[in-house]
Order: sequence, then C-alpha cells, then structure tokens
Amino acid sequence: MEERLRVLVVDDHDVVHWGFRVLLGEQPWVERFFQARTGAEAIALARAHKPHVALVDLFLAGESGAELSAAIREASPATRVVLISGAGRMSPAAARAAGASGFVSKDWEAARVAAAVRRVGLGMTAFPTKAEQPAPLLTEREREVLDLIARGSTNREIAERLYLSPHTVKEHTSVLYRKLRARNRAEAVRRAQRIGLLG
Amino acid sequence: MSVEQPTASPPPSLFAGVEPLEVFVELLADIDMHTSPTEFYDRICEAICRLTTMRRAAVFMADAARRRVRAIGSHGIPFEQLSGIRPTLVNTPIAQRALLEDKVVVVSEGIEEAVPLEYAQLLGVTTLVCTPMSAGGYAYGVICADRGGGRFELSDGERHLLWTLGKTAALVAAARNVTRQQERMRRLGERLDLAREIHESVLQRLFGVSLALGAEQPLDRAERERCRVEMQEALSDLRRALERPLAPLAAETGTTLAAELERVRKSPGVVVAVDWHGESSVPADLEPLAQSVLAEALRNIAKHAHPTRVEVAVSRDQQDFTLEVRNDGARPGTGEAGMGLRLAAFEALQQGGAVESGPVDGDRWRVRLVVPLQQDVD
Repeated sequence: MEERLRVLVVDDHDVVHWGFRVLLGEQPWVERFFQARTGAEAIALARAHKPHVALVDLFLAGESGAELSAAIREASPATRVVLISGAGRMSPAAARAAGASGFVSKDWEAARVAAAVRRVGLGMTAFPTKAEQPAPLLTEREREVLDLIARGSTNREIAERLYLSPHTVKEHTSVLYRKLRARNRAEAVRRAQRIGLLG
Repeated sequence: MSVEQPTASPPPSLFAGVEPLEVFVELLADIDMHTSPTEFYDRICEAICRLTTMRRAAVFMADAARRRVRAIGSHGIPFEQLSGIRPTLVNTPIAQRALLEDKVVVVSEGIEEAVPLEYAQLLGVTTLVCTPMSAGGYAYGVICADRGGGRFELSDGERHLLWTLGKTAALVAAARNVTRQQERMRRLGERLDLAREIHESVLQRLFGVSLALGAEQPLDRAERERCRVEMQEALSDLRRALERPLAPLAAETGTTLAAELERVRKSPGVVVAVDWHGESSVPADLEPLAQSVLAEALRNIAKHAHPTRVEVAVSRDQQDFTLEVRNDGARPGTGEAGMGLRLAAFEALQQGGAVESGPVDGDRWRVRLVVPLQQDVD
C-alpha cells in the first residue's frame, strides 16, 4: 500500500497556502496537510503532528527559512525539510548545510513541486538539475586552498602542498575572502561552513 | 608638429584667491549625468589652461577596472592622440615623483626619461609640468601640462597655483565620484524595491494559481473564481510596480510656491511680476514640482538671458494646475531645456503633466508646467 505523508507548508502568503491546498488536497499520498504562516506556528505544528515533510519558504517575513529548518528538525527530528523560494537559486550543498533535503523554486511546474515534496517525504532528496543550479561560488583551486585553510595550514604550507608560489596562494586567499565576504581566515572558514562549502 | 610659443599673458597671481574656484564652477556648472568622463576632465584641463600660462594639458588617471593608467581628458591636445598611450608609474618618473612628493615637478632636460617616449615624441615637448591630483591621502592621477612645446621656466607663483589647482581638481573628481556612487546606490535601491515588490505580490500570486491549476481534478466554481481574482490582482500589482515613479522623489522643501514667489518678487534685481489668478491654490502634492519648475526657470533666465522683466502666472481650474514663467531678453540661440527642467519634466510626467519651454514673441522665453488635477483612472 502507498505510504501516505503528512505535509506542512510554511509560507507567509495566503495564496500560496491556497494553491498547495488545492494541489496536495487531491493527492492520494497526502495523509494530512498543515499550514503555518510564522516560524512559531510551524514549530508548534511540527511538534504536535510530526509531519513527514515540511516545505519552508526561504524568505519568510522577518524570519530566516534556513534557521527555521533547523528549529523544525529539532522539534520533530523525523521531519525532512524542503526549502522553497521565489528568488534566486540554492545549491544542494547550501541547502544541505541548512538541514534541508530538497530545494524547490517557485517557478517550477505544479506537478514537479508535488513530486519533489513526495520524494523528500519518502526519504529521498529533490534538488534542481545541474543546469538550474547557481554557478559554483569557488573554483576548484580556491576550494583546495579553502580546505587547507580550514585545516590550519599557513600560506607557505599551502603553497608547498599545492605546488604554487606563496604569491599565488595569497591571491587565491584574497579572492576567497572577497567571495565569502570574510575579513580573515577564521571568518572565511565559518562562512564557508555555514553555506555548505566545507564539511 | 608645430610648436606654439607662449603668448604674452599676465602672470598668474601667487595668491589665486577664489578665481580658480569660480572658473571651475563656471566650467562644471552644467555637467549632468549624461556628461562623459572625457568631457568632464576636458573641462578640468581647460580650467588649468585658462588659469595658468599652460597651453596644453592632459589628465592621466588610474583605471582600476582595467588595471592601467590612461589619459582621461585633455585641452589643446586632440584626445585621440593620447588615448593610445599607456603610461605607468615606472615609465613615467615625473608622475611618480609628483605623487610621492605631492608637488609640482618640472622637467626641461631629458624629457624622454621622464615620460613615455611616445608622449614626448608625439607632442614635441621640451618642458613638461606634472601636477599631482591628490587630496586626503588619495591619489587620483596627474595633470601633465606645457606651453605648447617650447622650453620655459615656471615661477613660484604659478607652481603654487598649479599645485592648488591639482588639489581643486582632485576635490572635484572626488565629488564627482561620490555623486556617481550615490546615483548608483539610488538606482540599485530602486531595483531592489521593484524586485521585492514583484516577489512579494506578483510572483506569489502566480505561484499559488499555478499550483491550483496544476491539480488533476477540475477546479470547482469557487476555485476558478479565486484563480481569476488572483490573476487580476497580479496584473494590477505588476502594473503598479511598473508605474512606480522612477524619478527621485522630491524632498520636502519646507516652503511653498507662494512664499517663494513673494521672496523672489521682493529680491533686488530683475522685476518679477506675479499674477496669481483668483483663489488658485497649489495642491500639496504638486508643491515640490511647482517649486522646482520655478527655481529651474529662474536659474535658466539668470544663466541664459538679460531680462528686464519676468512674469509668473499661477492658475488652477477644474482640470489643471498651471504655472507659467515668461521673460524677455532671451539670448539668441538659447537651446533646449537644461538638465534641471528635463528632470522636472520627467517628474511632471509621473503625475500625468508636462513641462514645456521655448521661445515666444521674439526675444521672450516661456516655461510652462501643466498638471491635471485628477488623473484619469481606467
């Protein structure tokens, strides 16, 4: 028998709730459908009903969808989160860093959105195709330099390890800082961890 | 190339006073957002030549984006001749010294070693004066100037004047950069506001409707009606977003058109006659626009005419508010409206109105603002 899922939608737009209600209300795999407009409502519903999957708007009014994902999973550890957004794209790594198992863009077709919700509810992941994902923030070489910075290597050690001149390593670190909007190595590592660039 | 010898001209004053500032203000007064960087720095070079005995001047600045130094304006030298020269601080020791020591450097011997060879050969320079354009610890570039090719000595007075002009030019360049930065920020802010508005209204409505229409079961009557309403609202939201005023919002002026007219009328100088038709009042939302049209019209009169009389008429009927400024003594060849009036016209357009300006009755000039009091709503 088909597994039926409890679905929580967290979004501050009434019309989005209505659309999901119409779409998911007819799906045989949806057991129950819950709606929350704020983080507090979402956490309360998650704690009470232990939804299989929660769709969380990335830009809730005044709240961070990414932080709310973590709070929902704390309230209901079995709940898997799909982040949903109408602006911008999110890489799988960044979504995973926020504790999400999927990312849905609001310009996707309804059937694809429903399929993504179901996949995540059943324990799989759902992310945009490679072509739909944002270009990688860092180049392969910058990633290597960042990994070594995170392990505490000095510029000289990084240069020796990657067969680069110290000057080239310094240039890579400058670019890294600029791209990550970090002022120093510690901040660069922290930011990289937060957006899923480091394990 | 021909070498122009310096003509007899009065020696520049050691204490330049406010004259350099006046010349800069005069030359830069009608700079607007459409003025190219070359035109802007051409005028700085022109100011240098007008205020000193220099006949030719060129501004060289660092182009951060392209990581190179290039000529960015000139006077007395065709700009095209300079645009191919790529000096660096290494091959231009005269500039390096001027910037490091923050002083005017004059080279009369071995000019080929002081500047790139092509610069010396191209212009046939013998004596070259290099003035730093730096202020507040920031080096903007250098001004290279000469008297047309010949050898000359520079007096202490002129050296000091050039150094002062370099500082003034740096100040002007800094002000221009700040203004451009502010304009960029304003545009970015507008773009962000527009994106936010569309994201929060149109996009959410379209997404919700698209989810509902994606359902396999036919929609019932209420759901179809909701789709219709949401789509209609999305269209209205989109239209509102597109119709948002793009001109900078008029700041609170702290005065009124009536008070401004009274002040102008009582001011010494040209006779200003005010004809305020009946009980006409200025709608509060049109006050800033009316005041800016009046100010721009008077500014243009002061700049482009020799008037004996200025007539201002204010009227209002059931349809329109009208402000008209007429003057005599318009100089022949007075061209199209200046940037101020063009901006005011743009602002008027946002309110469904118009600003016209042009010659009437021979030497008379008219500026007229007409704004409908109730815009048509369809």
